[in-house]
Amino acid sequence: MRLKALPNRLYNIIFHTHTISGLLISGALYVIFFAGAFSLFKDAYFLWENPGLRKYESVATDFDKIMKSIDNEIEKYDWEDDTFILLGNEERPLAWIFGHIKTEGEGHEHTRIQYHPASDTFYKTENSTIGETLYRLHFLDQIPYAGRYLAGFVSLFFLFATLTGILIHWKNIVQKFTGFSLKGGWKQIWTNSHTVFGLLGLPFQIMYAITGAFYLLAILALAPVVLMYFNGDIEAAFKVIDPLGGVVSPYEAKPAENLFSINELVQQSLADYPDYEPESIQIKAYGREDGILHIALKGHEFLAGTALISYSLKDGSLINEIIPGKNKKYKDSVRNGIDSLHFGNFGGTWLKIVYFLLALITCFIIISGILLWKEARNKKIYPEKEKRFNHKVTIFHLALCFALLPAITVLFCAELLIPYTGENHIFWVRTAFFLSWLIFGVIGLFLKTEIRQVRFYLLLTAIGAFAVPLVNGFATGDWFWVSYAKHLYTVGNIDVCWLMTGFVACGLLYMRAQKNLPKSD
Amino acid sequence: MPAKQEYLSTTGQRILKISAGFLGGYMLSLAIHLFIAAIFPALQAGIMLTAAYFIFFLWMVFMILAFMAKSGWKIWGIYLSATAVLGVIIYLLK
Repeated sequence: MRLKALPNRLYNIIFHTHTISGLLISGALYVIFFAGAFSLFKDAYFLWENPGLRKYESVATDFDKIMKSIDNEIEKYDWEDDTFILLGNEERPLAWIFGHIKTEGEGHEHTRIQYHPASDTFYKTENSTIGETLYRLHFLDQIPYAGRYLAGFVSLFFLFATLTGILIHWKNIVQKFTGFSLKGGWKQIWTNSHTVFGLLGLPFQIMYAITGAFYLLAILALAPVVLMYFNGDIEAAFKVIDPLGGVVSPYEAKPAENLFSINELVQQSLADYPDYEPESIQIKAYGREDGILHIALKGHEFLAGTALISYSLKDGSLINEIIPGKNKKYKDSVRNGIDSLHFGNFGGTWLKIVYFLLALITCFIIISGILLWKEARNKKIYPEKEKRFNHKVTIFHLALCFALLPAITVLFCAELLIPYTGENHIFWVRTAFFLSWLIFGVIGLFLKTEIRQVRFYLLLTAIGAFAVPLVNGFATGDWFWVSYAKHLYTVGNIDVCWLMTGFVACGLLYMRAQKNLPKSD
Repeated sequence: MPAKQEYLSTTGQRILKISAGFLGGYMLSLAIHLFIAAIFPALQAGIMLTAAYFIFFLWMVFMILAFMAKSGWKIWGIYLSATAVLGVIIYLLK
């Protein structure tokens, strides 16, 4: 079945814009998708990178105990101002606490701290170097000031490239679904895999292009709206946008005589909604008669599945509830739904594995796009100078992209090899990561041909991937079979995944040596 | 396989089309959302949140249409006048 093709003029114009926009964003887009793929499992790295916490069984969270511990840890903690506690999960049993400290005179000081309930310890610094570094890299946050906007516009133009891609292949779009083959020369293979994988991953890619732009550029849409309909009053706008915006504490009431236990109220909400589990709580004006507790419960039936339940702390009465499938409105579901889609947290680990593979496929589409761009211009009618330039661009992109995976293995190794000494540890681990990425990349620039680059990076990846479980084994004694025996499944899984990566890299190197791959043109 | 040069426009036209798609497309997609919010004030919050992600889709569609246009001047004209008309209606409804 063939669909109607674009007229010649439009086809050529769209083709050209697709090529140019794709080439411009390809390097950054690869980094975003590759680092993003690893960030999907951000929480799973937690126990791997914190060997000291591997001995604790995760426990049910006791809010009253957390609050008591906060009082012991932080002097002059201000309970009357807002406190937000984001609970951990089984993989990362660590709570985030965002609150305020009383200061002399007017105003408050913000505080954010992490708490490990099982060992009753607080952490002031980030203790998830691997996850945090890759997570921030996936929106280019390490580039000061401009990084996030840059990533936002890359996401936006990724949407442009995707939509123009659909228009180009509109005529044969039905055949492309099953059109994958490894026949012909390199140009055909790259063209074929670029279009076929591009089509298969289409919904995934459009979803990421739009949600990515939403996180980083939503201000472009919201700022004019706030100016126009709320006279620039951001607080008034938030009252409408925020699902809890309408449920407020005036902060004027007199001190309360007795307050309800937070645990009791959380238990009550769980008794009403037994299929849900606690995600976070917000405490407002604690210690006063108008104190409010907001509980966010995560459900599994809906994409935007978070339920929000609010209680009065004075008498424990129910003030407000927003329940998916019952009274949760569209406006209360937008952010929740976009979060679920973007972070892939609505279908368990298997869904994340599918997301991970689709992200890698997207990386493959980017690489094959660059290669087919070069091969299509590798003909006699093109001047030598242009061909040399195209070759240099290709070599640069491959070095930038392929050096990232071995650098990630360095990041994992450095995390356990560099001694833990507070703030400096994070700095050195990150330095090791970015420096190795730079060095591997620069070496790649001198390798001159794509095939030598591929061999070099496969070798580096194989060495690095085998090194990760070895480093964990020697540094902590938790070889993967020991981890499994101790029920530390995430730790063991990470080691096994790296081992498998190492074997795949070796296999590809072996295939290359046997010349089982098609010959270069 | 690479696009045939004879179909592509001149540098001046290209600058016009890119700016029309990027700036004009942004303004028009924003104006469309503000316009819908103005005729359905009861749905304002929902439309506002829809704008926060859907504006990017419309923006890129307008960007593609700008490239498809025969004249950069014309597409600038269309985007500007459409934005202006919507702007006037929004102003009157407010």
